[in-house]
Amino acid sequence: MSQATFEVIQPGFFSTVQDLGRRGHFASGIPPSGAMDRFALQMGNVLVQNPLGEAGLEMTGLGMTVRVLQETVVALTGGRFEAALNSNPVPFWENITLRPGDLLSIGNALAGWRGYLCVAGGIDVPQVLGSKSTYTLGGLGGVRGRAIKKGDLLKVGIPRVSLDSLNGRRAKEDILPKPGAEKTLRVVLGPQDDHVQEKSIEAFFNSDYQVSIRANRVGYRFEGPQLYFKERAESRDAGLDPSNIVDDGNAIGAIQIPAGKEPICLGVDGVTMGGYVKIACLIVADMDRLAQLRLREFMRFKQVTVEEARSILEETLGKIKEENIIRR
Amino acid sequence: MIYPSPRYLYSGDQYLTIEIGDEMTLRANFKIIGLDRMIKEARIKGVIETFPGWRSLLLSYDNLAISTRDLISELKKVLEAIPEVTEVPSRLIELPVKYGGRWGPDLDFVAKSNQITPAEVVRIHSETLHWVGMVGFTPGSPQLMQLNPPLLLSVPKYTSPRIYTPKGTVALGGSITAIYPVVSPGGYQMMGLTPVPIYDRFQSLSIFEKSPVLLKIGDRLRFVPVDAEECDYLRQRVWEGSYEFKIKEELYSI
Repeated sequence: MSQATFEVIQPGFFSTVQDLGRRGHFASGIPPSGAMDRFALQMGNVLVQNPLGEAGLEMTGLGMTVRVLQETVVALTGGRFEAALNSNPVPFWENITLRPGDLLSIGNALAGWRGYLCVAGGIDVPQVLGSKSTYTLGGLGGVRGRAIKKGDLLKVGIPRVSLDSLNGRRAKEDILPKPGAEKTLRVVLGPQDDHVQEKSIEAFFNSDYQVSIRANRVGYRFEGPQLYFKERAESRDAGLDPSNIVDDGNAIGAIQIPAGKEPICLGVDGVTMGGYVKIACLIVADMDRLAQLRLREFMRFKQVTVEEARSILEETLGKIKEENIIRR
Repeated sequence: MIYPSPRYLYSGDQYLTIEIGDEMTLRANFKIIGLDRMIKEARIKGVIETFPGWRSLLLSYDNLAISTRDLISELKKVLEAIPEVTEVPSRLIELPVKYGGRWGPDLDFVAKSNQITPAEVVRIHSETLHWVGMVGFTPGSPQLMQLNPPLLLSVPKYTSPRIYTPKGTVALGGSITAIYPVVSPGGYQMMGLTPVPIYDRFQSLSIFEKSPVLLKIGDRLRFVPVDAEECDYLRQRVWEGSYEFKIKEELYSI
């Protein structure tokens, strides 16, 4: 399709094109990127009958306003945002038919923090290293490697089914997360929990943490108690501070604790390596929860095993299916 | 130290850290390069990609295709012992650098910290070959170890990181040199700037056809000092698309 479907009237706080990310470039320092809330993107794609990994728009805190240039069908998912079509409220998790001249405006996040706009046919931008995902730090993917801005014209791919057949489809309510209600992030201990004093590991799991305003796709900072490290032999290679280690690779979701203060949980655009102790790592399924945490709100970390993490992931992914779509 | 056998450390439910020691040495790095090759050759089901580093390797896997326990037992079969690796393929790559001045505002501080003149810093840093021990943090950024320097250059990092580091900055932190491929914050002392890209997001120069990242673990770099005029000229060549990197494919052994 050569003609644009959307004209961006107002880009929101930070909106980017995201699919499920690019793999195979970690050793070059390029993280996977992709949607922070993968359930929301994939369920949106089910609604508009796209392949699960098709690209949509991820919005942060404040959504975008677009003018519709061609008929299309979209689904809004993720957190709960103010949303209106030509000033009439529109629902989330339900298909919306848009006609030329329509104005779709997505306002403030009311619950949760990230919203997704999935469109039948997907957002049509070139694949870069195997993905359409935007990685702003490296200037890769999406719209010229950057966040969406005012005046951008967005094209849409060819839908797999007729737009008429998408009418009235919505997701079953009981499979949906309550946006922003879940304030616990589940983590697996390691890789360097053995550097941390046992009392501090207890404190990590038993304290309320507050989400810092320094929170984005690269990483989330949390404010909470001071954590202490075990005594260790002086290491010239690692660095002087006991929170230093010889640099190693950072998993996506790794939780670093520089100087024992302000744990940093790396997001999907996270820096790929570092020299700080990582006390634990977020389980893959709970990147969805991290994505929906609001700035300044309180949350907790909870320990799970890798086996539990796997069942949680299976359960989450198991919900993403056609059987969970009903017709209004 | 190097451990008697690899340690398998959980990094969440889809990454595993395989650690062979806690030292930043060529010996440890060679072993990791060997280990990386062994894992790749074993083609274990569910393994997505590997990220070899100074003394550990981060492996990403699909935990729905293989359980963490099965993955570790498969890895243990492959990596019974930490391999003894004494020779690896290593490209020798020349990178032009304009040292000092506005290109490297911390050069004088590096000189003072090592109790030599700035000119001596430039001479030592450019005559020494540098080993790529790990690539990352930002896209394509290498961590470089000085190979047999006449004097090991070393300098404290910034106590509070600066917000802005120009693209192409060559900087020293501890005894490790890093190159900043994109504009980013930074804590290493800025010694100079290379006018040629080590990361090209548009993949416009032919060397970047397969990947936007030039360097990989096991490469060696030689920094070639250039003056301001040459620096501008090389930048022009890059812009025109006619710059050609000087690269030799070699083997390197401890």
